[in-house]
Amino acid sequence: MADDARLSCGRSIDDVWSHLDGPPDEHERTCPYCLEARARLLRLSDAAIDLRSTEAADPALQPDPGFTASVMGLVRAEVRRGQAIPLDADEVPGLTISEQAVVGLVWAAADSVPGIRARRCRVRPFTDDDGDGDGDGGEDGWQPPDEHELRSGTLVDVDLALAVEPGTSIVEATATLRRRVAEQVARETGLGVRRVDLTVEDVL
Amino acid sequence: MTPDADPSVVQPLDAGAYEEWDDASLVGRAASGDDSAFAVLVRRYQGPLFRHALRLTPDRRLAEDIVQEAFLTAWRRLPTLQTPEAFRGWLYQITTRRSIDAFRARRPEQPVDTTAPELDGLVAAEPGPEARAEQRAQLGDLAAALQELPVAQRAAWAMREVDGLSYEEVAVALGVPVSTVRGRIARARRELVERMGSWQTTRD
Repeated sequence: MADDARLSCGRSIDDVWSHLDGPPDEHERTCPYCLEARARLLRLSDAAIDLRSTEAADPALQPDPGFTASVMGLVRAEVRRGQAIPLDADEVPGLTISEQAVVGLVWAAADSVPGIRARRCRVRPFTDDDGDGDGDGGEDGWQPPDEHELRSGTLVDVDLALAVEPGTSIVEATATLRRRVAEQVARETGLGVRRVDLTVEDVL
Repeated sequence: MTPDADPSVVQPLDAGAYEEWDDASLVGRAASGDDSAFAVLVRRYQGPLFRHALRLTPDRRLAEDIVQEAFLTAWRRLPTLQTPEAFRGWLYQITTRRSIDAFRARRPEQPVDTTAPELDGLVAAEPGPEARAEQRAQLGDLAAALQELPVAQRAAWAMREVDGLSYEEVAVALGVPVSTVRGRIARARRELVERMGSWQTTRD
């Protein structure tokens, strides 16, 4: 196959392609075969880009107008709610809230912080493993930020991945974000946010 | 305090706020169940994926069904996605496989690789009446030449050069190593450049 693409000067189309991004080399500048191949390759690249924009604008090459709605109808029928989190740790039988609803609150709080794009999120009820009932899981010196608010509400841990816009002060933005997430979740659900673990994945 | 906020309902950003978001952030949101973020991805990719399917299988209805299935499968698998960057390759992978399978199932008597162009939608994919006849002829020639390529080369070249995927994304889409993708694209390019000999003589 490579032989078929060999030009009369001995170079291949692939050779010419490999320096298409830069100026022609010394041989190419004076070789009519290479110059012709170069011109064709450039025309092919341009034609590919033209094809993309022409097709994108062609009404005959779009999915039916109802396509998005039809896909989203199927998608929304399979919305994931996540696990049920008891609103009040002490109450049996208790009222629960879906993880997805709490995640939505976390996102809403995060989206209100300038320069932040909140991505993946998990919310899990915290189980007090050391069983002393102080909600610290055995950690020393931890105090709930607001005793009154957290007295009976379940404690949750939040994991959130972020992208930040350039020029954003990460320290400042994440401090604001932690505070707003805790406030928003507590205000809307009574759940106590024990911890917000943030992962900055990207600077946009 | 937001008295009318219902904690059982995910409160998305204002409609339209997502439209400028990068893919990775939208994919991260969708992976954690944000269907509004997923809707933006559907709108962003439904056209290119539909046209990609049409390049591989000439049946419009079938192409639409395939793309719909690709989105639904992607939505179901999103929670297992390791890197957000893989999402686009994934959509193209599902669409490409289904399109080639469907085409083979429809035309068992004809090997796909030697099928003559019959893609009415694409060959007729001409710019509006105001467009220059020359450009129309060139794009028609390219679309026709593309249809004469073996389907694996056609899919690889079009994903890279028309749809702008990286070699790595094309490799994901085709389920083959990057080196194989480079070879296929190089062969397709040589073939297309060869055929351009006949179309360039009508110009200049």
